[in-house]
Amino acid sequence: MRLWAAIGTLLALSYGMALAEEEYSFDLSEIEEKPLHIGGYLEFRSVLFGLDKNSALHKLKLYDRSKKNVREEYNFTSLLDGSYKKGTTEFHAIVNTDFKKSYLGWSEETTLYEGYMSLRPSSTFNFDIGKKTLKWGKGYAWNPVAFLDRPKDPEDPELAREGFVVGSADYIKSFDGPLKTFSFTPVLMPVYDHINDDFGKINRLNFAAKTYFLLYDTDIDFIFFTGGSKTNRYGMDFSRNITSNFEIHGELALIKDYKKRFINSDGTVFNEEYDATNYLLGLRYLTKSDTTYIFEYFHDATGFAESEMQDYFSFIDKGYDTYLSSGDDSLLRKASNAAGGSYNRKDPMRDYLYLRASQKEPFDMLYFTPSLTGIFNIDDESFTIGPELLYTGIKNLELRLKATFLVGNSYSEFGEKQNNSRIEFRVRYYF
Amino acid sequence: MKKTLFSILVVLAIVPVVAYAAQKDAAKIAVASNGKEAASSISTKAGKCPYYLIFDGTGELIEAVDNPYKDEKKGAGSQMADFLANKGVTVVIAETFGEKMIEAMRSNSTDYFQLQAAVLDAVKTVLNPGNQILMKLDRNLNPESYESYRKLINIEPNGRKREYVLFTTKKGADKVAGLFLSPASEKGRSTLRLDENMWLYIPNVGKPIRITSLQSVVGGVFNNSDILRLDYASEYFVEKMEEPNDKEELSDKYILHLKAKTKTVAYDKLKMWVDKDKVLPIRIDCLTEASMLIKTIYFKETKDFGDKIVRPAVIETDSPLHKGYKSVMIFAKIKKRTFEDEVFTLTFMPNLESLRQ
Repeated sequence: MRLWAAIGTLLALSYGMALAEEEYSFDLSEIEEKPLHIGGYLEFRSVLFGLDKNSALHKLKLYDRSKKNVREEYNFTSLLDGSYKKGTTEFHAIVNTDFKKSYLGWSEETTLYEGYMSLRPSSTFNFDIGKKTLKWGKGYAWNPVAFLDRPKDPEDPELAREGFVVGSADYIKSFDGPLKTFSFTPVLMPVYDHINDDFGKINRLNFAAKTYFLLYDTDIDFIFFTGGSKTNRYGMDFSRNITSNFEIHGELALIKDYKKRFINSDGTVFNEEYDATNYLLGLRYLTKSDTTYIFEYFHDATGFAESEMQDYFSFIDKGYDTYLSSGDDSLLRKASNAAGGSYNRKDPMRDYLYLRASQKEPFDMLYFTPSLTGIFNIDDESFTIGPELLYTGIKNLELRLKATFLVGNSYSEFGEKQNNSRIEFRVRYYF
Repeated sequence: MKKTLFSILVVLAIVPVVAYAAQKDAAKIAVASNGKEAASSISTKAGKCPYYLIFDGTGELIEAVDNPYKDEKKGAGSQMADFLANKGVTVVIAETFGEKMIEAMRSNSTDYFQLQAAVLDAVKTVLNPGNQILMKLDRNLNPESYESYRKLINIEPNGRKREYVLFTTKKGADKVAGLFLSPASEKGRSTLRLDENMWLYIPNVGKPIRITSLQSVVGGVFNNSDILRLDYASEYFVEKMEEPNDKEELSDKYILHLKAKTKTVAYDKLKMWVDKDKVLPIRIDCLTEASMLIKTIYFKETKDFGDKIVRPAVIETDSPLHKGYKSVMIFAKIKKRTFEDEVFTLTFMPNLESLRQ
């Protein structure tokens, strides 16, 4: 009897130990270093647009299409991220493939977002050559000092973006005392036929550099760009934690001899040249209840004034009226190409506010992060407001439901967008 | 009989005090100094500082020595370590030490502390027995410069788990970096801590952003300052120490009551139970200024990681603020390793993977 009791106890103990072991197992194969790595994600995204048939941009872009109240769009995306390491050399590539079904039918686009070789002879020096994104600046929604990056989409600033072909180096030095880190990053950027030819004027070899200091617990960068593909530009940015839950950041950019093209309500094109000073001030604040607020103010001196945008919308209206009366769309096509597409860029005007509030796991709803994002155009008082729900409860799977409402008077930026609402559902699986 | 018992108890009580006092008096402390006065600041360079101030075990300044090796181009640190050992110095204090000087001090069995303060304040800190225990505990938990792998497990009240694996590196008192290896959705993310500055880098998305010590990059009960933990002695000082006594709770442990050195430290106060023999933490209560419990950290499964690193392999935490939740940190492959300071910079964050061997 005692023997059985002892065996029973032993079995129970070993089962308990096995459970305990299982609970805290750490399989060392998980941390094995492999020279080749392939990862990335697969994504499905469907979007339902609520169209504003009376808006200027609806008239401009869909004047010859059937009138619908809603349009849907389906996107299938794969982002492949691969790297291969041998000694101090590493090859890295990111390839993005989009399949899209929209009112224009099916389309496919494969883009090499990044593809570069890194040499890291020491932790003080490293060199990269190839296509890469540099991600300069400290702002969340906008980066006026990111002279060598494609602009972010402030409605989805965390989306991966395509880089440019560059040769860059990093020299890093650490110190004791108030200056803890210094680094210098020079960049060469060729702009020739088929190489970065969408960046600016071709047949130019451009040079840019960033100098970084961690001084008195503040990140500070000084940046410049020269070379001719775009006019010379100078910038600085900073970021600092004021308390353990409060961060501030800012950027300042001076763009020399900026050339702005704009049209009046008759379609006459004007040119203006001036030095543009762009700046951004922002903060990030975490409350005790785990709400994160991001707030940014962005002044873009290259943007259009309220009256210039009104002239543009008024010209579209004229073009549309001409099209309706005579079937002649030449004015609408002129409006579409006006100012090299500057009117159609994200945030074409001058003063914006960005506010994002996200609450981690409210009411004990695990892995749910609801958030609310607003972008306000201070000049014409139009805005977008977007509630969002993110769920990350399944390993490597991310579900996001997001709605965006665009609100504004006639001849205001968000009041004249082609859609006045948008609902988007995104499923992303990481591998 | 009662008298004899009383006498034995008195002797037993006095012996450790006398022994401690003798040990304290025997200490000879040398501090790398920028000046010849006790009010001078500690030099940042242990090998090439202008002076060494030598104190006895009561904190009395007994000698100011010119550094004979301050102009040496090479080997100043190791020569200085031998010079001080020959003068009978048992403890050396400086703001930073070179690797070779640390090696030489270890072979001479000289204790050393990296502190940033006025010389006299640093001597008082080192002579405080509670702080000595805390500094010893830091060294027992991990070498000054090392790499390790960690698995973080967040356990929900229903038993569901979420796991993260990180490669981490640490150097000196204020530099820690971590790289996520799994799951796939987090792979390649890296975190950096330089003193109270913290950043998170998410590849393909953006540049490193500043994060705060109270947030958590992985969710769960561990926050960023728990994951990117610095030495306890660099963030806290011992306000009060309860020594081992007859009480069952304290028969084989110290209780250290720690207070944060600055307002930017994640917890205002810590109550730390320390194993007397191993000088390793057993349990830590993290408290607010008003002594409200934020979380409790338990240290378990002491393991020999090799190279004289014997420490708890598992850390568990729970919190009255997250009832039913538990987070666990498991350590593997803790290894002494020297890194360049430049590894712990914003510019290097995207390259942390290149450090894995």
